[in-house]
Amino acid sequence: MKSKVKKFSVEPYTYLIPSILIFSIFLFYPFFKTIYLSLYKTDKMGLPKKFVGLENYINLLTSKSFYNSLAVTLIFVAIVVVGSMVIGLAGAVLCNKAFPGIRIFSTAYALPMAIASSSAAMIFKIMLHPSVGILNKILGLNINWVADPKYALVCVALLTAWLNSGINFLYFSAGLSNIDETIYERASVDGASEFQKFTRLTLPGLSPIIFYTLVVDIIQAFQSFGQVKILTQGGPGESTNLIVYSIYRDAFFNFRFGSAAAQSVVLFIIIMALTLIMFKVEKKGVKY
Amino acid sequence: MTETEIVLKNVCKVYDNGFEAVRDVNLQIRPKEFIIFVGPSGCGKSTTLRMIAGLEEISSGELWIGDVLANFLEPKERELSMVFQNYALYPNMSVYKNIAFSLEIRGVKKAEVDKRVKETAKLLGLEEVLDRRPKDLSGGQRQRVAIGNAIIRNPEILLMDEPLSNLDAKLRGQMRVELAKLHETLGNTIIYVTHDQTEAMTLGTRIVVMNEGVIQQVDTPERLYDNPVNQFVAGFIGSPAMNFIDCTIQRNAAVLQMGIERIGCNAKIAGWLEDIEKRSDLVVGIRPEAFLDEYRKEKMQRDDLGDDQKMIVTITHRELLGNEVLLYFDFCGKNCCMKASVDNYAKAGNMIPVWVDVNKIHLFDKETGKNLFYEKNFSIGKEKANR
Repeated sequence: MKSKVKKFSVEPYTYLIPSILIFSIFLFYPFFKTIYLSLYKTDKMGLPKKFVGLENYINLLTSKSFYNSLAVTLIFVAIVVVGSMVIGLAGAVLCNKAFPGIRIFSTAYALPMAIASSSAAMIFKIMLHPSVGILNKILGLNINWVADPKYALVCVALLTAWLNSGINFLYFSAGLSNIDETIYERASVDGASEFQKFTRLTLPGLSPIIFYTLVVDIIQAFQSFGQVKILTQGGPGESTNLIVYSIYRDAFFNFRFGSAAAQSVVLFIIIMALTLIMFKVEKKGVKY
Repeated sequence: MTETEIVLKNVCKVYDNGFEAVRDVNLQIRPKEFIIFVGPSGCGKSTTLRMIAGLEEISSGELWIGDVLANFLEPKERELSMVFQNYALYPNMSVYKNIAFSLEIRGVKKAEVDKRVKETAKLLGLEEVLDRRPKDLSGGQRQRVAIGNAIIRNPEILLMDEPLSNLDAKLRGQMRVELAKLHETLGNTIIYVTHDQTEAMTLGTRIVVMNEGVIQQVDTPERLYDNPVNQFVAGFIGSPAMNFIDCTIQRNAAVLQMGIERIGCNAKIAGWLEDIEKRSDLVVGIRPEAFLDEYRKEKMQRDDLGDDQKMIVTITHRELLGNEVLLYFDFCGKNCCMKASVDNYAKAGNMIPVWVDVNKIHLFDKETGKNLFYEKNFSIGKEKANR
C-alpha cells in the first residue's frame, strides 16, 4: 500500500483563526498574564513593578486568611454541588412522569438557569431580611441569616445550589428520557419496588450525566461570585470569603494584583487537579 | 407444576382519548397451555397481554389468576414474568446480573442465585457470555438473556410480547424450535403475542385471533386453519393467504357462479348449500392448495374432480419456492395464488387447466364476513375427534 504524502496546505488552519483569536484574547492572554503577574509586585494600576519570584505564593501559603478562604470554599462547594444535584435530580425524576401541568413544573425547575446570580441574591436578601423577610415570618424565627457567621455561608451556598439546579434539572431530564421506558416495565414484572428501580436502574442509567454535571458543577461552584458580592461581601468576618471573592478583594480593594494573581493560579491548580482526579475515577465508576 | 388458570371476563380497555383498544374479551387459559394471541398491528393483542401483566389498567371486566381477582394487583404481586419485544435488558448490568435481577431483589441467597443463574445459562447456552454487557451481544443472545431472566424464577405464567420479531428470519426459525422445547421442559403456561401467523401456527396449542380489539376465534391451529369462523380469520391464517372471490348461488342449482366461471359442487357441498339462502352477495374462499393443477390432481388421484370443477386460467406470475411452485393468475378480477407441483413449468402468459377442490372451499357472507360452512365443518371436526 502506498501511503499518501500529505501536502502542507494553509486552508485547514484558516478555519481555526476565529476561535484562536477569541480564545487568545479572552483566555490565553489573561491566563499567561495572570501567571506572569503572580511573580511580581504591582502598583495600584496593576502594572508589574518588581520581580519577586515565588514570594506571592509563599505569603499566600503562610497566610491564615487564605487557608480560611480555602476551607470556606470547600464547604461552600460541597453544599452547592450536593444541593444542586439533589434538587435537579429530584425535579427531573418527578417531572419524568406525564401529568397535567407538567410543563409548568418543568419550567419552574429549569427557571433558576435563567436568573442572574446577582438578581437572585437581591431577592434572597429581601427574603432573608431579619425583620421583614418572609423566611423569618414563616418559620416564626428571629435570625439575621446573612449577618450571622453560623448561617451566612449556608445561606449563600443554598442560594447557589438552587441557582445551579436549573441546568442540572435539564441535563438529568435529558438523561432520564434516554433511559428505555420498557426496562422499568420489566423491572415491575420482575418485582422491583420503586426504590429498587431508582437505585438499580435510574442512577446507573444516569451515571455518565451525573458524572458530567458533577465536574461542571464543581468548577462552577468554585467560581461563584455575584451572590457573595451582593449578599455578604465575604462577611460576616471572613465566614463567606470564598477564594474568588478574596481574589476580587485583593485585586480591586487592596490593589495587590500580584497576590490576587497568585490566588488565581492556586485556584486553577485546585480545579484542574480535581477534574483530572474525577476523570480518573470515571473510568472505574461510570458504568457504561 | 402449574395449576393456575387465567380467566378473562368481559375485559375491556378504553384509553383516555376514548379509543377502545380491547373490547369484551372472554377467555379461559388452562394450565400449561401455550396460547398465542395473533392479529394485525393495533388489534389489541399486546394491550391484552399487558393487562394480564399488570402494566396496563383494565378499564372494565375481570381478570382472574388462579382464584384471585387480579385487576388491582401490582405487576410484582401477580408472580408472572414477561419477555419484552425489545428485550428490555438492563444496559448497565452484565448478562449474569440481568438474569439474576429478579432473584436478587427478592433477597434470595447468593449461592442459590448463582446456582440458578448457572442452570439457566446452561439451558439457554449463555455460559460463555455471562460477564458481557447486553450491548456486546448478538440479537439472538439478547433474546436468550431476556428469556433467561423470565424463566429463572420458574414462574407459572410466562408472558411473551413478540419476542422473536427483532430477529432475522433464520434465527427466528431456530428460536421458534427452542421455545417449543422450552415449553415442554418447563411445563408452564405461556401466553405469547405475535403478528406472525407462522409463529402462531407452529408454537401454539391454542390460538386467539384478534382484530380491532375483538376476539375473532379461539381454537387449535389445525381447526383454525381448516374451519375459520369468518373471512378475517380465513385471510389472516395461512400463507400465502386464502383467495377470496365474489360469488353467487343460483336457486336450485349446486353451482357457484364466480363471474363467468361456474364451479359445480359435489354432493356434500350441494347438501350444505341447500340450507343456505340463495343470494348473490357471497364470497368464496379457496386456499392456494385447494387449486389443483394437473400434476397434483394426478398425484392425489382426485378423479372425482371433473370438468365441472375445471377452469382455464392465464398465469401472470410464477414463484419457485424449492419444493413447490406458487402460480398467480387473474380470476374474476382478483389476482389469485395457487400451489402447484414443481413439475409444472407454466410461465407467465401460459394458459393451464386448474381444478377447484370443492371439499375445501369456504363460503362467506360478504357483509358480515361470517363463514357459512362453519357449523357444518365444526360438526364434522367433532365427529373426527370422536372417532
